[in-house]
Amino acid sequence: MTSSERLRRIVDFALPKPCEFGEENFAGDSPVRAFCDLLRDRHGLNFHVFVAWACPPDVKVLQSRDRSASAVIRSERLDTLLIEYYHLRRLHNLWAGALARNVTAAGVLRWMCEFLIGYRQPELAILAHTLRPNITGIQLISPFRDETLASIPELDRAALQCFSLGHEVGHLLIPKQKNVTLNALVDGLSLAQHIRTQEQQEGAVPDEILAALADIRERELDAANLLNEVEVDLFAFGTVVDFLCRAFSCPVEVAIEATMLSFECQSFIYGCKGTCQLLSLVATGGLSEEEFRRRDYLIGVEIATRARAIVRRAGLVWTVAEHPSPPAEGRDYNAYVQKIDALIRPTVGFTSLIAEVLHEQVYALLAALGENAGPRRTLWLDSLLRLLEQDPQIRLDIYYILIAFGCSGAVNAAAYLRQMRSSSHPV
Amino acid sequence: MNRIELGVQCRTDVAEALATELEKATGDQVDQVELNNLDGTPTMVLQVMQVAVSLVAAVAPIVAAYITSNKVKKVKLGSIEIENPTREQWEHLWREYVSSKSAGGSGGA
Repeated sequence: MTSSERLRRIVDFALPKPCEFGEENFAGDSPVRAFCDLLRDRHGLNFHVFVAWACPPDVKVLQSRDRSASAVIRSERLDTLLIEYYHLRRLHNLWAGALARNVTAAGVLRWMCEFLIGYRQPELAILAHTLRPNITGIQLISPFRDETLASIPELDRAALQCFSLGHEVGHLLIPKQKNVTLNALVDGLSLAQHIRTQEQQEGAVPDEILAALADIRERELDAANLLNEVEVDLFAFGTVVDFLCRAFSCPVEVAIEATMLSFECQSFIYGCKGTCQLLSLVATGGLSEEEFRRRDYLIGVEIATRARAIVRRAGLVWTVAEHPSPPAEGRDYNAYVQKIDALIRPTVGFTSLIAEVLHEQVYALLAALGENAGPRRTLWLDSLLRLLEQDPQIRLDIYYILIAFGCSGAVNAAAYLRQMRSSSHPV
Repeated sequence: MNRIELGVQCRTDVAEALATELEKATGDQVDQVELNNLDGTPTMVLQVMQVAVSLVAAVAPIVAAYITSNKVKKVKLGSIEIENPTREQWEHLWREYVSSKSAGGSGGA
């Protein structure tokens, strides 16, 4: 058996069934292929990239124990969701009031439905879909990856795909450190300082609540994991900005803006996925509601800290790019704070709204789980499946989600959801 | 020689010991990779090997012991995978397989 066959055998085992996979072709995008080659050459890495379908939006990184070979397996759904976020953000200012909220909520709830199908929680998936506001007539993307990728400009498309890949490959290159605390410094600021600044910006919070939150962080936040994610984000950020400037001959601010946007897309989609994973743990009895609240808070802390580290690095990269030779009096890094603020400010309304919508819907699902606990759970699933069978629109929407996952056109949505908890799969 | 694929997804702290036991029982090499889901869940190790059909009954108790100690997240034998397996499920799976081979079935190798 060749090494390539052995790798494919392991990739097959790594994926949940009934996933399928093949070598990634980056939807024909040559810049992304060039980016992969650059990562291999620059870091001496022997890694393969596979694309998986008939599976939920997900990514996995494999590494042989002797570090001689590795693979990144990306669900083709991931790019589609990232681009949907991109379009929601881009078009947000076209809509006003209730419509802006409804379009955003419809997108978030469909992503939640997809993630919850992936986590094999049919009740929560159907419920999430039924909560979607009616936005008939507004369709932001095609369910198919290649068409969706083609819907955005080439530079942004490359940035989105390269940032994801850069982040995943970063995990192959940057090991998690041991004995890390929140006092660890990144670009001269500690993780703890980022957290404190974030808290201050979120407004007046009573001291006893701040103390309680600090206590949760102290006991439960995995500082080593957070530092590793920050380092990997910064690796991806620097590599992608540099690559975009070279590949597209663009000014550094264009590359920075596209890469920051890519980080934002990935950050929200992964945050949404992480929260849905926690919901699925509550649903299976692996997590109490109280634990859910604590861990959901910690996901928020991690996302905010990573975002602050990226913004800080963006300013430093911009400064150095515009002043490769520092003047005698030193570089004025603070001069770039306003420039970075100017990039972020126009979309603050959207990012606040989408975070608020996610929070609201997640807690609606959590409440529904609480109301349908124990023996009521089976009845709940039955009633939701009946709803699915009786409502042609919901059935069609979930059918399209399953098709987008890569299921056969003959798939019966209700039957698929009913049997999805089975843990034994003929391959 | 007639062979079947055996796959085990296990925790990192037991991976070396399990691989050593499997290799000792079969004389064959175990392919091992670390799996990171990038979602904060612990890194796991995937182990895949081709086992001679005649040795399935010998390796099954080794895997069963690790399943009992809650160190195994997924097992695969031939064409069947079980996530979060119980010892009973695993024993049922390999016994079915062995009896199907004894009865002349193909077993999905």
